Amino acid sequence: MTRADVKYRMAVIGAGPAGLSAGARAAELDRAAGRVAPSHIVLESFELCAKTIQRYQKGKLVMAEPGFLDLRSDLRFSAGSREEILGNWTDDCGRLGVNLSLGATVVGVSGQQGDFTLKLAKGAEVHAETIVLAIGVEGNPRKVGAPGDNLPRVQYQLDDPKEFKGELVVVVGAGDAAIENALALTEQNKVVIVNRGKEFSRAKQANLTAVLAALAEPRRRLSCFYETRVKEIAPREPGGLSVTLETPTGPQVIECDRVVARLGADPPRRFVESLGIRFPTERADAVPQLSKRYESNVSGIYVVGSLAGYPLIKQAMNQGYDVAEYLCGNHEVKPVDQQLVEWQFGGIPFFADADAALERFKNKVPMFRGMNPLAFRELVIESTISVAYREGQEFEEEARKQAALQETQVREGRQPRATRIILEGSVIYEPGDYGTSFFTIVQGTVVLENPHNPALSTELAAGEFFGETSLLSGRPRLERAIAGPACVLVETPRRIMIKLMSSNEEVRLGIDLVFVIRELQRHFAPSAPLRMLRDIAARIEVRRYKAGETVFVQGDTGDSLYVVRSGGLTLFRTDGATEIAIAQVPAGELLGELALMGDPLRRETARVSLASELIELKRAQFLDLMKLPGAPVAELQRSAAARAAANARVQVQPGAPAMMAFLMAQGLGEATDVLVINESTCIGCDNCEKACAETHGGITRLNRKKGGSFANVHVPIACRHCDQPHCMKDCPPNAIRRSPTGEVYINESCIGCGNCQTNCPYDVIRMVHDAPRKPGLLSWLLFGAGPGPGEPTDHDLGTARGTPQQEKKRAVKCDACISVANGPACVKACPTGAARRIGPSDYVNLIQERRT
Amino acid sequence: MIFHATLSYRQLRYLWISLALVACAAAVFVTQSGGTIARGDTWQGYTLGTIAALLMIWLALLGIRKRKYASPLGSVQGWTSAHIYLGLAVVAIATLHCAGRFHDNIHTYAYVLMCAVVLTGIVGIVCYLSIPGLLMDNRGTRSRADLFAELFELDKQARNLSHDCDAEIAAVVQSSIERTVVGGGVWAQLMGLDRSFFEDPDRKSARRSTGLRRNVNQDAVLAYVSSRLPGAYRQSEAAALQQLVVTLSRRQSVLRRVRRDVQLQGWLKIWLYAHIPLTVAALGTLFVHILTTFLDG
Amino acid sequence: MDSALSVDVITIGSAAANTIQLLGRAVALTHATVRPAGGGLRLRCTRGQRVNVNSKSCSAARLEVGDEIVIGGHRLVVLAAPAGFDCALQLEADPNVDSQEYESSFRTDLSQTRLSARTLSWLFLSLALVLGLLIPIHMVHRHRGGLPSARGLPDDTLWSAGPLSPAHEHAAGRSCGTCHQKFFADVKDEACLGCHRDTNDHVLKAHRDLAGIDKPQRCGSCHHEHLGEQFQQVMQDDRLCVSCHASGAQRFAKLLTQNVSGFGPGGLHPQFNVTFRRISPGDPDGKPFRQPLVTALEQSNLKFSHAQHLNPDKVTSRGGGPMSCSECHVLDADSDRFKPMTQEKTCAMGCHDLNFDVGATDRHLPHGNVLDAMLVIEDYFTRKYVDPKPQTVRAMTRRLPDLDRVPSSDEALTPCNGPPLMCARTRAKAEIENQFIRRGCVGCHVVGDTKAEDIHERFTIERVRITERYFPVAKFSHLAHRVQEGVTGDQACEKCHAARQSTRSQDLLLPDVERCLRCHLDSQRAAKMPLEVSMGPNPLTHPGRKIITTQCTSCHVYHPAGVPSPQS
Repeated sequence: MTRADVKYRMAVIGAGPAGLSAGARAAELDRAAGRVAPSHIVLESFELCAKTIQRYQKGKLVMAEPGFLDLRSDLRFSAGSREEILGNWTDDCGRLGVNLSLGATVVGVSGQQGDFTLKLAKGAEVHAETIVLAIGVEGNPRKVGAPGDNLPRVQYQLDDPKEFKGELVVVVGAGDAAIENALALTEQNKVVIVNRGKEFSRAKQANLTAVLAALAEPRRRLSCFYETRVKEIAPREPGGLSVTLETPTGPQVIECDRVVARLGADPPRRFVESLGIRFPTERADAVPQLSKRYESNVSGIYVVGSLAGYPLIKQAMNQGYDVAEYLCGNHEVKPVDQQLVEWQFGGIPFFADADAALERFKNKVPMFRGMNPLAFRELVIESTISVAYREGQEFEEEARKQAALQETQVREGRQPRATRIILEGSVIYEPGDYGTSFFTIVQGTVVLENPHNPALSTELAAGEFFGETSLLSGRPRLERAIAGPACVLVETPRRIMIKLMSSNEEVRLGIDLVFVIRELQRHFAPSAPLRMLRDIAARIEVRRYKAGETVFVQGDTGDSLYVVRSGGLTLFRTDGATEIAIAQVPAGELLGELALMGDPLRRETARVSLASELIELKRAQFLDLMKLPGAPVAELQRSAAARAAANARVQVQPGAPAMMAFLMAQGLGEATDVLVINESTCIGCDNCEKACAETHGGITRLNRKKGGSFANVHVPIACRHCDQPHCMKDCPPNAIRRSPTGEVYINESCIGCGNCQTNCPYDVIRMVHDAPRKPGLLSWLLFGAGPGPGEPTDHDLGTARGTPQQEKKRAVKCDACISVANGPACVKACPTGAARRIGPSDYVNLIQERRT
Repeated sequence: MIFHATLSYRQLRYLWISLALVACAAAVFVTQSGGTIARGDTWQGYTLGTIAALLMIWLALLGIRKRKYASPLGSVQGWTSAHIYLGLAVVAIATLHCAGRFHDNIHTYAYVLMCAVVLTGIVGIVCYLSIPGLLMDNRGTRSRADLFAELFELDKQARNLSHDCDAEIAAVVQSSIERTVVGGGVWAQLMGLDRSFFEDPDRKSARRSTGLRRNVNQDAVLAYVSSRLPGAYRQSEAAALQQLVVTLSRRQSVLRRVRRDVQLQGWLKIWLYAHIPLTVAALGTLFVHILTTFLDG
Repeated sequence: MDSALSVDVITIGSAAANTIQLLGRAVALTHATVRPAGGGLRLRCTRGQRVNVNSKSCSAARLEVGDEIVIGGHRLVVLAAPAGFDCALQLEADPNVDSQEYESSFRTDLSQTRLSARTLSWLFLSLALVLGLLIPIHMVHRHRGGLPSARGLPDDTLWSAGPLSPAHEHAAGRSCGTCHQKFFADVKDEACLGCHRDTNDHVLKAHRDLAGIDKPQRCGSCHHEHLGEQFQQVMQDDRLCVSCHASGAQRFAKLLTQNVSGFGPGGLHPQFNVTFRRISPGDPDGKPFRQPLVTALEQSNLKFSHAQHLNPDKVTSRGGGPMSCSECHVLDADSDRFKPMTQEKTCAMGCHDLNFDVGATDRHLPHGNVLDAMLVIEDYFTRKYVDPKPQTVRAMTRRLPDLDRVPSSDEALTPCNGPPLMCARTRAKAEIENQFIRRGCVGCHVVGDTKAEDIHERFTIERVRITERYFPVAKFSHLAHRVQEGVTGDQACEKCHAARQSTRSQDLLLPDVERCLRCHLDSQRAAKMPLEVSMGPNPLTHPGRKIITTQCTSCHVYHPAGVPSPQS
């Protein structure tokens, strides 16, 4: 409950994991200090705490990632079902006497450190010395904005559409969420959609067609009011609502059972900025600058949880605890991950203590200097520290020590964390390795060796970094990196770097520049020293294109060539009236180089097939490059000619362009390893699918029957292992990995959030329960016991409705049988050799072999 | 080369192996001349017999290997290729084993069964080589699921449209959809028979009959509906009828494809229903053959 | 959407014809039926199908209002029936089942038909085992119980490895049990000997301990059956014999066996032995004994010279010219040997027709009985003297080229002046002595003279014994040897039998091993020889001869009919 007359030491805004944990800590300290009146308050705008988790569907299993991190909170939390976790928290809050006030929306804050005044929507005020901002990134759902929009049967989310049967439901809104809810509800209810606009303009195509079909279908119990808004909602006996609508033809009253309003949410950023907190960049995913105590640029306002850039529940709870601990006077509190940091630095020769080491690292590397300590700390924790020792006894010792440490950690049931001890001169990565991690040299040197010509290898000194090419383009490594004497490296996973770059402009610019320089060197000046390239690179700009945009059109005169830094393009030729796709240009290739070598006319239209970044070289810059020593002019011309010839060949082949277009449409443009089936030999035995299921815990990761076909080539629903996997974009526990050999796979730390499923444009990812055991092969072969190998279990058939909701749902996708001993099972199992896995280099052959 | 045919797997590796095997067998066979008469129970005979028997068992093991998906033993395509060629070789070897002595006894029956298995196998090869192409031509770029999905949509459309026409039409269309049959029993699938019906109100009126009318390939119902066109003077109804006719004919063409697909798939599989049981039978008689050979000393 | 139905039974399934059509692979074409029963509803699944009623799997259930039925993800809830209706069901289709599942509404795959490879396999397998194994085994037991095999059912002849040899087919026919008496056991010799009683084992029982052999070879080790017409008496492989007989002399010393290591030059095969019979007063036809061919002499008690008979200056054939072998030695086509020679058929024939009085050449002495011969002579002279009327004397025609006229008996008939009977006896006596001592019987036979007073008692003739078979256990066909090195007739004979040189009846005139080896070699050697072997420097004058591959069994019989005991 809120009281205007007292000044709390700490006001927590938002009762999510972070907020509750902070509150709980404060309450605990109050109890310890024997205070009667709470020195804290937790304000939650919603009627329940932990809104985001409340929104999970019933019984969803909530994971406790990251595994390596310990929980430090007065609230209980471990992997479990949504219900039990929420239950635990409510109990604990009750037990500890957390001063929680629900439905209290903070609309404004005034004052400064020591004396803040929080204005609540209901008009009340709260005074506090410090504010802890734990509101997450979800934001609050927009209200209907009409009298009665807070009535119990007016809801702003829909957990389980199956909850309601035979009701009349009014759905307010025309966005995707609204449409999806409405359609789900019509399965067993009568639904009325209230749409502000003339049509469903904000909906994505699939939803749009679906809803229009449903509306056209007389049997479907769905109707829609266009250009209509809700005027008033009033309770109706018994337990219903009467909604007054303002339709173009005048007011109309609907007697309904409930109202579901899906009007989107106000992102919290505006509110946060209204507090005076600054964000480093305008990017949506930027996080505010914070001190290592989570204090924002406005002193006295602390930011924790996902708003501070920590999406995982455990992190948020720990931060809440730490902040509360700190604000309640314990200034010595060390973050719970201190231990981890110490372990990581353990193997460094000059290691004294964690903080010192952190400082030292931060200062050694220019790129890190600008970072705020919190971000840097996270970066280090997520990274691996490697130290190179000269071959000998010292190396032996260190290696043994770290190994021992890891063993003990494993015995204690935690993920092993230690300094990685490597040998001087050992290879860090090989050309062709898939690896998107980013290396920073803290001390010593690293040699980047050109695989084709070792003479052209560069030595990097302390403070420099490498591996940015793969980081930015998602391409395999291009060079061989060799650890120099006594070098100390920080290897940071892509996820963290992306986060860093989006919140730290100069880091991004720095990396971009080096990337450009190295690209130039690779393509145009293999032997030129970097500094010569630097100024050219500085003048070059990187253009970003969205999918579908056109870079240049056939026929116009070009005065620049492009290096595809990331993404991919498709080249089209207009042949008479028809435009035909003749080639795709993957990341790392040159585009339109002919324009600068002779024929200035563009012979193709270049259209971006997936969001791309292109480095544009103007003629002048190109000529400068060509002036540099050892410019591979001949080389460039040869490859250009070759490509031109290839394009022509494709163009003239009857049907070939159409095929190419098909392949591109199937997303093979960004694929690295894709399953194709030759329908002219496929006998439809489904052995590929069965093999997949049997080698992957009874759940197949490919669907042969579905997917597109052209000529004799069928591309089933199966992972393409994209250059830059869409699924990897947003995986909270970072469970989706790419092996050095290129397979993209999901490891066991998946929390079943389903982000990857929604992100994958080829819907190859499924959310599934573990399949039940099957009877042995022989008992099936001889007596037909149970579903045979690869045959669907009742579970797949959907009869598994009785399965307990507790059961963990997880994301599964093709892992190119990285786990299976001998190669991809689908291909191995095909009796007629119709199934093959191919990469971009095979497309031309594929086209040549096609049967029409 | 992306796709490799099973027959020419690894430059016909298994063809050569099989030929070599047969050559060796022949070499062993010819050593039994002079004093001894070629027959199953000379040492040469036993050698050849053992080879043949082991081969038969190995060939049958394809059924297991095919389903041991995690097996490290080569690829199923390789096994299939070997299966084909060694399967043909086993006939030659078995013939040498029995030195061409065929009589009315279990031993010859075992041989005959084995030949039957190989024969069905050959049929299978032919099917596998010829039918997928036909399937492709028939289905075009659509999968069977797509066809059925389309059919389902067309059903719905037809029903909805028929609701805008008079009740009789609605009933006719409804019944024609309900009584549309695709596939069915073995014969129906293989022959692509169409046992569809629809309820013809004109006939219903005449009692004695159930009013059911054969509706092969949906022609009858199309005829019925289109016959109503001239009579439809109400603009809306005429339009609806027109639409309906179009929908029904689209439905007809989809059904045709589906039926063809089912038929071809059937032929693609049917031979296995002979091949496998015969294999088991052959192995059974092989067992008896071996047992009785030693039974009689 | 509500829809009112007036049906007496609600069918639920994926086929379009159902009252309630539910898509999805988990729904059968007709999955279940719901019909009103005594106020409530009764749900019954079609065979093999199940549904979840209130999340309990069952195949049939009584439905109450509020019950929830789950069929393959779809949910049906029983509602309170509104007025005028028997029941009300609320259907809630599974949203994850999309129209692509429509296929499940039809039987579009063979696996959905009654056809089942597994069932067929089991059927075939059991058929194979029952018909091929179990029933025959049962029949075998019936046979052993003395019962015939049931008609129309397979018996153990099904296991026969092939047709029997005609003889055995005839003898044993379809009852395998006669030979195959036990399972998993070779055919016992007893089974064979049951019929082949008088077949001796290669080593006679009597000789076993001499030979140091305790048990005989299995019949089956040489005799193979179930080869039909191709049935072979023996395994014709010399190695079988040589394996033992190569060292026969050492192994079977007691049996005086010799070493045989093949049939070829260089003493691989020992010289032949001839078998004679030793006559003793005790047994007239004598015990057989063997003698090396080289030293052997015939003792036929006959005086005969081949040389003389073959000499045209001494003897000519009827048509004139020299005699030919075949005039005496007549080949018996079916025995491969020669017809036995008799005085009447062989010697008489206008040569030795035993006339004794030049005056009466038509008178012949009977052959074979001494006393008869004497009485004939006495009778003759008695008549002559009692009735002295002379009669015409046909000139006797004896095919002796040096025909010096022997004085007629008439002229020789010395006048006698005693009573004629007396004269006759004296004359007869003289003639008898003449026959047995000077010429006549004594010409060919060995005559014994007891010097007895009574002339009838005085002379005996040694019994003639011409050995019919010198090699009683060997197989040899003169028929097959009629042609020798491209010549026939006497020349052919003389290739082996040196008759012209033989002046004594003791000579055997038999060829030796070397002679055989000129044409015959065992397979091993024959393989090494060219097919035609020249007989001398000039192939024109010496035509080549064929090399004939020969097995031991071509001359030797394996099963002795009974061989002579070794000479001591």
